[in-house]
Amino acid sequence: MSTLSFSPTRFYYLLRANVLENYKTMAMMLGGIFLALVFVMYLIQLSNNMGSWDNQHYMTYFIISFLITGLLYSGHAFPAFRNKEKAIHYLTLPASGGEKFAVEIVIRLLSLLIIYPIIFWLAVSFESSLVEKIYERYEYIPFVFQSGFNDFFRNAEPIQKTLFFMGLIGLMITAFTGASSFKRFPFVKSVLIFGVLLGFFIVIAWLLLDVMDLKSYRKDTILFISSEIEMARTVIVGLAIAMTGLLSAAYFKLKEKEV
Amino acid sequence: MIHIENLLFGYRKREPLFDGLNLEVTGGSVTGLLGKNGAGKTTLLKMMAGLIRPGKGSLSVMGFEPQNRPASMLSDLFFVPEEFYTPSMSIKLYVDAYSVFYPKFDHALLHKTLAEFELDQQKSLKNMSYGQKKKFLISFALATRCNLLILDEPTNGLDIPGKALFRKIVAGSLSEGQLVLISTHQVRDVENLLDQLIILDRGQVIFKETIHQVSEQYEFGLGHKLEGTEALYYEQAPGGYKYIAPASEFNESPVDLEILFNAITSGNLKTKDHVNTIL
Repeated sequence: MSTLSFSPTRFYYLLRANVLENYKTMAMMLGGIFLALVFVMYLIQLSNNMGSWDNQHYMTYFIISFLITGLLYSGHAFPAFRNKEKAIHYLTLPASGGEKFAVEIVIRLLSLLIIYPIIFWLAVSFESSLVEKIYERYEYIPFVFQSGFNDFFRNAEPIQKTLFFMGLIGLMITAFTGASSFKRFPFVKSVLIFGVLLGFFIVIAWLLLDVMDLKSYRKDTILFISSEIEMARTVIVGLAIAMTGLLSAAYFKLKEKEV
Repeated sequence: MIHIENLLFGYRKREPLFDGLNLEVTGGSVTGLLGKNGAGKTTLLKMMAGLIRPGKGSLSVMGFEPQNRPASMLSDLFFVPEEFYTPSMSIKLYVDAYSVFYPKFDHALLHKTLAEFELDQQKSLKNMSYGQKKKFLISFALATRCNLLILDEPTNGLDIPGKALFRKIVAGSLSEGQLVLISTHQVRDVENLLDQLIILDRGQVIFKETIHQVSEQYEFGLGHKLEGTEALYYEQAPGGYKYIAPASEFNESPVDLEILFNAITSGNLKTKDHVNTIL
């Protein structure tokens, strides 16, 4: 009997059940993120003598806060796996592995991409307009995502932008996969494993390029790649393969989970 | 409904729990699964619910391989574990969120059983006692009208009236062809409810008979003395002796699951040809 079945109705039921069960927690979390964004923004401004923020400031704050929030949130995916009784309830719910996986992707990754910019915009707009009322010298410059994005990536090539966003999403997928694999402290363990792997590749690259001096073998190439653009393309392909592999591993972990 | 053939399974670094286990259970009964601590009852139930992968051999539940956890199998199977999770939401909201997964869900039956267990649908599960949560979960399980209900120690945590109600409600809520598989150590709680008995010991099914077959073969009694009794097995009990004797044509006694279990697992239940007439 195939386990790859996908029913949109069951997917909807699962998503609905998740929202009905967790709407209070979700509301509290969104409120917490809003307040944290406002508070941290105020502290940063305070340390900079209440200087006004332009779109580039906002965008930098957005990217850093998105990365931190995204990693923490996706790093706690599959919450049922943290507890034996919850895991039994979750795994025996009448939905296929594919449906459960899709719901987790929607809740832990896609919803963040949609909801976080809205919360961020509301928080920074609220903070800026409030600070303007308190501090006379502060000038409220409304945040516009499009302009902020263009300012932030003013000198970047399109491929570099792609690389940047793929890296951001890739980190969240890494945390998501870690959460599917570790029962206790999934985020900390994911960060550790990621750090170890990254360190391993850096050491290998250093051994190949510097110690074995492969970079002198052909001056015009780095491991057979002859330009920065080509290098960026290769990294994008590598990231895409890694992200697919990580998501497949998370699905496999869900499918094979035993209690 | 459940077909197990030559099942081999063991947790790591331990002796095999099941070593060539064979079992066939058909629908339309309330079956008790008994065994000593560590006999593998919960492990077997979890395997049937798809929560543990069997080692070697084959295990099929309603024609499915449970380890694949197909949605169509899960929508016709409900597992009530001994330790369970209930979210922090009201009964009403829980039913709203989760009943939709079960195509045969019977809301009228749920209302009836909740009323019998005196549970308020508006009350949050978070504010309920363990026993109340268990009563709710049993009510929900019965209302799903799933073909296979697996209940692991269902009477643990229930109060005295709750245990009697449990028997009444389960007996009165069954659908045709439904199999209710109950694993328990509290045999008194399920007496008069079971139709069939399975006893697991040392990785094997050592006994599988219907209660009707048992009562046709044996008579269960309690006496001050054993003189004149053709005992196949006996043990001391408060007030005298409990015994199992060959069934007599005119005297049908209710099956005493506790002494039957002790007799079978101790290996001391004699056959009718080797009856000791105690003089």
